Amino acid sequence: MDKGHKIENEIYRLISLKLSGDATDKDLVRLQDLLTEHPAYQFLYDQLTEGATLNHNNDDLTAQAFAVHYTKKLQLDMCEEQGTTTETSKPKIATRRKYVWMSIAAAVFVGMVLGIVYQKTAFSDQKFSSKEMVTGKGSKSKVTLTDGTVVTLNADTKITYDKSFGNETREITLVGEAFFDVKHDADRPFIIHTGKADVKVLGTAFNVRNYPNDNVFETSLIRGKVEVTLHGLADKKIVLNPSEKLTLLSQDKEKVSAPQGRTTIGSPNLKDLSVTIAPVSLMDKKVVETSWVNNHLVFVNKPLVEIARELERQYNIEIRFKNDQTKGYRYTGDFEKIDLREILQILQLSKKFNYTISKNELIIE
Amino acid sequence: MKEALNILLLQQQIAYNRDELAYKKIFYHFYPRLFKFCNQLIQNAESSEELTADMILKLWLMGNKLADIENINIYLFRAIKNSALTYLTKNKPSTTPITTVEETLGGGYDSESPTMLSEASMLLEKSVASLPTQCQTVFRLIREEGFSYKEVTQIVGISQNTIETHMRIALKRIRLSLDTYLELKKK
Repeated sequence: MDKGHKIENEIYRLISLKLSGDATDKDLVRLQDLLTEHPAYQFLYDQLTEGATLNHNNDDLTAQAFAVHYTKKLQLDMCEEQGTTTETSKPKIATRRKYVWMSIAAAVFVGMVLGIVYQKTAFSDQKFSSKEMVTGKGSKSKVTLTDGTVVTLNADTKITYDKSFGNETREITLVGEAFFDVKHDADRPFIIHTGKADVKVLGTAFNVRNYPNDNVFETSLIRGKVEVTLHGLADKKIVLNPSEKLTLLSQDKEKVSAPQGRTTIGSPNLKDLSVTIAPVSLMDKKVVETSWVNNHLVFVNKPLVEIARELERQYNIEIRFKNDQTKGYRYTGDFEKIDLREILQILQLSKKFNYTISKNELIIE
Repeated sequence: MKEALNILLLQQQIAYNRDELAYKKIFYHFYPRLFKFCNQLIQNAESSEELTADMILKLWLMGNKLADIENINIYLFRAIKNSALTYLTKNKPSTTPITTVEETLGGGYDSESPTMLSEASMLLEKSVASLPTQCQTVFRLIREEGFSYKEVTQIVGISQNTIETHMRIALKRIRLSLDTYLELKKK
């Protein structure tokens, strides 16, 4: 090995040690001497030692990566916890007057603030002839009626029907939200009564949503045909085609999002009501309105105040807002069977809000 | 040293308390460095993002075992290096990607500052990027991540002598390209 080659290698070795922080004082002195003696290496040395550890922090990209991976983390966390937590998905059977309806799996009756007084009086009149099925907040249930119709009840929902159901007519009353897959029977029309409208169907699958504290009556048709009669507008029957949604909006409350639709029936008699018919909303090719049947919770551009009402029902919790600004934050998302805290965490990622949560109350600041 | 202590503390908080905030801090601390390192090796920002995030997520999933890792810094760099090499063997480029210096610098975290880098340092980056993978890994760990020889032996799993050889090769090639640049400048 010639001398120049040897020196070259020694310089490389010393520069490397300097870069790694392993160089001793002696090494550094020797390196300095060599560089003075052989200036050809000075440029290399300068380039390598200059800006060696550029600060590459970019919080935006990191935050983005964190948010992206967080969904995955939540899913994995769910798997991890599955052994310890039990879901409230199994409905329990509730019977009234010791009737046992073998074909019916009803949900547990949970006394709720709304509806219970009304319901009590209703039953004192007709307790011997009427059946009811109730799901509490935080639970869902699927029932098969005697005629073969399958009804899926969303949380905080009640259906009542006469003991004679199916004899000549099929009529039920709904408070809340349910998905119906009606057994076809042209001779006995299936009618759903709600506080705001009646829905008359032949064989069909559709969703009816009529929560008393929502001010919205909504019915979405998946297949078949339904006819909707609005209370107080008996002469105006509306026929829905598949994949259409009818929304009946009470205008007395502000901030309820009115969907754009093909028809609006102005009504001089009921000027606080507006009716729209629009296609059902799709998200990832799935129908948003009926996603709850498959345990999805889907929000499309919904203000937080409306999301909160849904969460109250699904998770049996009281939600209060400390200020009005937060109420208007809008979110879009599709959640499947997850914990309330996780939903809140995910919502926070897209638009930040603070909250405190106790056993049965959530306060959003 | 103080930083190392803090990281150990965060590690404990995640391992025993499942502390989400501690996890977030760990993520923010390591993600940029690991991402950059990974992306330099595999030249694919999207895959690097995923590999890096998955890597850090593994720490969370370890549960109590996370507390047993003595040096999380070395652990993570070893892991991301392995992921990157596995990725490279799986996704052998049919043709060598033609990356210009701008692209090399533009990928990921340097994107906003290429103009601030001098011509010489761009050239430097280009010649580093063209080094053989193992050689490049060693060089970057030492020069850009500030690891010592001893730490690099643990991360890469090679002897100190081999590290010296890699560094010698790297510096020689870098010097050659810098010299060419200087001569062009003179003309």
